[in-house]
Formats: sequence, C-alpha cells, structure tokens
Amino acid sequence: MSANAIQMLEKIVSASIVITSAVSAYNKAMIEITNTLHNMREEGRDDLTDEELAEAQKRVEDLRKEWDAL
Amino acid sequence: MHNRLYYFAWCLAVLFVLSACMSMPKLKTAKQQLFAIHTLSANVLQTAIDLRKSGLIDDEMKATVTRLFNLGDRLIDEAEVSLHILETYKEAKKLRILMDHELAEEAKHAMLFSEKLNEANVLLLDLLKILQEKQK
Repeated sequence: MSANAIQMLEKIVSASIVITSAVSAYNKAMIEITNTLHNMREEGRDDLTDEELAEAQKRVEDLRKEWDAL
Repeated sequence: MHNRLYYFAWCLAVLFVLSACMSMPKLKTAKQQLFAIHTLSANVLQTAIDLRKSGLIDDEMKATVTRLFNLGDRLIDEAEVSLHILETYKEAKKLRILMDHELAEEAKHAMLFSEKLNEANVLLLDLLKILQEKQK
C-alpha cells in the first residue's frame, strides 16, 4: 500500500471517529435530557427550574473556556 | 482533498447535532428546549475537547471548529430569543382564553340581570295597570 493511500485511509478513519463521536455526544445528551425530564415529572413538576437551566448554561460556558484554552 | 474530507465530517457532525436538537418532541416549554440545547452543546464541546486532547484536532482544525462553535452560539442566542417570544405568545394566548372565558361569564351574568330587569318591568307594568284601574 502506498504512503498516499495510507494517509488517505488515516483521514477517512479520523473523519469516521469525528462522526461517531458526534453520534455518541448526541446519545449522551439525549440520556441526560430524558433523565432530567423524568426526574422533573417524578417530582411532580411541570417545568424545569431556573437553577437547572442556569446550571446547564454554566456548564457550556465552562467547557467553552476549556476549549479556548486548549 | 484530505482536509476537505475532514471539514465535511465536522460539518456533517455539527449539522447532525443541530438537526437532532431541532426535532425533539418531548420538550414542551421554552425552558426545556433551552436546557436540551445547552446539554447538547455541552456534550459536543466535551467531545471536541476529548478529540483535541487525543490529537485528532490540529490548530487549523481547531480554528474551523471554533468558528462553527461561534456560529452555534449565535444560533443558540437566536433560538433563545425565539423561544421566549413563543412562550410569551403562548402565555398571551392562554390569558386571552381566560379573558374570553371571564368575559363570557360576565356576559352571562349581564344577560341574567337583564332578564330579571325585564321580569321586574313586567311586574311594575302590571302594578301600574292595577293602580290606574283603581284610580278610575
């Protein structure tokens, strides 16, 4: 196998990893969302609290800072 | 060619997450939808951080991904505003239904009151007739 072919294969595998990682991120998020909504209903609430929403927003902000710093 | 393939994978991944985010039927209120958007964003960011740490994202790719994240941030801001408008509209609609209901109740009372007034008028007319006859 030529060096170019190996390099190409490497890129295809990397791209596949990116796509499967996105699917995995989506699945993890779905599990989190479903669990949160389930807990909300178990507790007899109609909607999420402002704290829960603020916490989710803060998590994104913290991760964004981590990403920018990398 | 190689980089294009990689960009394409990233765009596909971001589009996949965005489209998934837009089509979640379980979410009923703006707060729930925003929570879902933030949770999805957090998971995508975490994945990107893991990929960067594992060396799959180089500096050039990081710049592209950051641009995509910035675009995502703007989209989330827009979504937040739209969802608040939608929620306000829903609240206004609910309030209007309540008001309509209350107005209907008021109208019913007014009609009942009017009927009683009519009955009273008939009685008064009868009384007037009796008095007129007595005067004769």
